Amino acid sequence: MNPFRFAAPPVFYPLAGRLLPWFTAAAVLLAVAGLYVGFGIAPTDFQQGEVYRIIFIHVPSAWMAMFIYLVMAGYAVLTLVWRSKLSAMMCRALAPTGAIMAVIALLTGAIWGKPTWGAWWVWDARLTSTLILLFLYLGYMALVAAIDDTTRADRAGALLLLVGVVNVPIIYFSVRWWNTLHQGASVSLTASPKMASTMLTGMLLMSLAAWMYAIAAALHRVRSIILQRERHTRWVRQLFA
Amino acid sequence: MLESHLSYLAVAYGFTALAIAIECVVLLRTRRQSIEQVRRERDLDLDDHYESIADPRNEAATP
Repeated sequence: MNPFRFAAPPVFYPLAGRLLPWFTAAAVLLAVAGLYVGFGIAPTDFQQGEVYRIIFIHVPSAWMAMFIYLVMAGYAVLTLVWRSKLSAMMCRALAPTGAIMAVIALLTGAIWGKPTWGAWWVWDARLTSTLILLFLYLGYMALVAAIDDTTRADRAGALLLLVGVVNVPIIYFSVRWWNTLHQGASVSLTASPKMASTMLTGMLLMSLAAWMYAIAAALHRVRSIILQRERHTRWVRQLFA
Repeated sequence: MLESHLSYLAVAYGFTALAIAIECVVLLRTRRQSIEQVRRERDLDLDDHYESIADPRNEAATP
């Protein structure tokens, strides 16, 4: 079987429709489980008190904001190298969700920062690079919306994504490279976690929920984009015959 | 202290729920508009010759 056949909109559109309810259900179930563990089981933090529970949305949204951008950069490569139509559509479908995740990460971070740092915002390396990530998302969406020729818009957007991807490792390593007010990574692949296991479980469940949600939102949006772009084709018109 | 912390939590979770709710509403509206656009254009049949289903870009994204 040729896996590239799924890059054809007539093949991907029904597949996305079949996958969508599963990802949506998984997002809801994982979010309910994560909130139950986060608020019902995880203990109060001995230093920060109850306010630390913002972690259950702040960290997953920050991870997703970075990860979605990396995925978009991957699709940008496919757009530029193989001129795959679906890859460009996936970039467009992912961008608003990535931007929303960045906004959630920044705002929940500000709300968390006030009681713990005494400030809503500081020009810290982690915060500033995450703000730049939000601007990259907004810039990408503005750029592709501003160019009428779809193919040119896709290619220009893909270039911007590839240039901006350098910001993602800067965000991730900023807490190591510079002295920042933002705390270091609580979870790492190479070290044991620096938090109670129930806190970690809640955070990971919420992170999985955020993944499922982002996939569901992207699948939903890309189906609309496919309909808009392919509306003059016979296969789309036959869908609603 | 506890009340103040709970209000920070409420604002953070409330904002997140609102952001996700807005995205979901926009997604559903966009989907409905796309379907309406397809139906409207098909009914008007403004474009008599459909793009061929055999558009090479539809067929495969093979390198």
